[in-house]
Amino acid sequence: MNIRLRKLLARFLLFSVLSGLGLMSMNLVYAGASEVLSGSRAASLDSCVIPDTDDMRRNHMELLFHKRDQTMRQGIRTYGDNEVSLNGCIACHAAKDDQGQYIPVNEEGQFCQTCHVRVAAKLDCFDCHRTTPETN
Amino acid sequence: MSQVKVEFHQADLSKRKLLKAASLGGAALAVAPGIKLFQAAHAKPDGQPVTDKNRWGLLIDVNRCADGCNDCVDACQTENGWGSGSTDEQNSRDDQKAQWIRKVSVKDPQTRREFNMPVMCQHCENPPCQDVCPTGASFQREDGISMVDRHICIGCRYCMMACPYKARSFVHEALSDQRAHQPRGKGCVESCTLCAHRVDKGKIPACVESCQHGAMLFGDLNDPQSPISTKLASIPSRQLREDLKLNTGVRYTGI
Ligand code: SF4
Ligand code: SF4
Repeated sequence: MNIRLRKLLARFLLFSVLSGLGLMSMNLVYAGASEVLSGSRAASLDSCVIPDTDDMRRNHMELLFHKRDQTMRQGIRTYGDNEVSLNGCIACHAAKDDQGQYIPVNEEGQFCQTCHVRVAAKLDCFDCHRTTPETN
Repeated sequence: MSQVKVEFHQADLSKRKLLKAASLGGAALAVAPGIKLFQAAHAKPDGQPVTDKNRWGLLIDVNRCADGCNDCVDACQTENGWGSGSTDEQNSRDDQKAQWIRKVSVKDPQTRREFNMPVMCQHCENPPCQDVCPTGASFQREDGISMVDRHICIGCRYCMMACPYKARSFVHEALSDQRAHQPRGKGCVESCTLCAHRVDKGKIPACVESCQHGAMLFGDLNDPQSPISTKLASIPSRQLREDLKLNTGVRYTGI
């Protein structure tokens, strides 16, 4: 085998092992820590509106895209306690501070921000969307 | 009452001056006293998409719109979280701040007649904002409501220039005090949504609900039996800048 091909192969192997390790450690973190914050409504529930938490972690953005187009373009709005929408996510996952005030979900250590910082995915949603449940 | 053919005669005015200067050579007609311009919307079935069976519109009676009253504007601000309905936009100049609906005062220089009326997005059937939008962010729902998809709006503001009614605003700074049902944010254009979030629940727009003078009627232009359609069929009404042939969903009577 020529030397350049060998080098290329070695690099590829190294890359696969390293990225594999990276992904594994991410999964470990996911499995170990719970992003569900005590004091949020979610903490008192058995499961999310999507019961498969891993699925939700990986695919929530697809669900949100789907819902956003339905809501905005087709006017399909869902209401009630189990509101399946970004507002519903926020209503359930926002934690409260010592004064009983809601903490924005995109603040450091809060539900959305924790994972997004880890995976370095910018949280664009909250440039426009409200970050706490509306109380009034 | 004699039939008067009314025509806008200031088509050469720039659009920004137009709304202030509109001198309309029309016969002023009052809606018969005691008729309340009010209609509840029909709720669409939950979970169903909007369809072109409906086309939502407004009829605004200029003769009822009271001098000095700002109720519709206030209600819109509270409902949609802009202006006094929000603690945001503290760093923007007044002429930069959002304005989804405004009271416009009009004086006919020939007759010296003065009146005022609320003006918001006219929910055009052929919207210039949509024609010029390079991304598809300016869009129309099936039921005729014009909106901005902030997810794909790049903030170029072409639509603001194209809109003959100055109905659109650009958000110049980061916001944090939005209403849950009405996302708004820096770098996007926005305008009246005809309270789509309320209409989808079978409610009428906040401005219409707030008007104590019965100057605004909301309803389905496609349903010939709806109060707004029967009203439009029985009294003269006008579109602003009807020369542009945009077939606006918002109509005015008394101008
Ligand atoms: S009034 Fe202006 S913003 Fe509204 S649909 Fe017409 S062109 Fe677009
Ligand atoms: S500002 Fe946004 S909505 Fe308006 S034309 Fe540009 S991309 Fe389209």
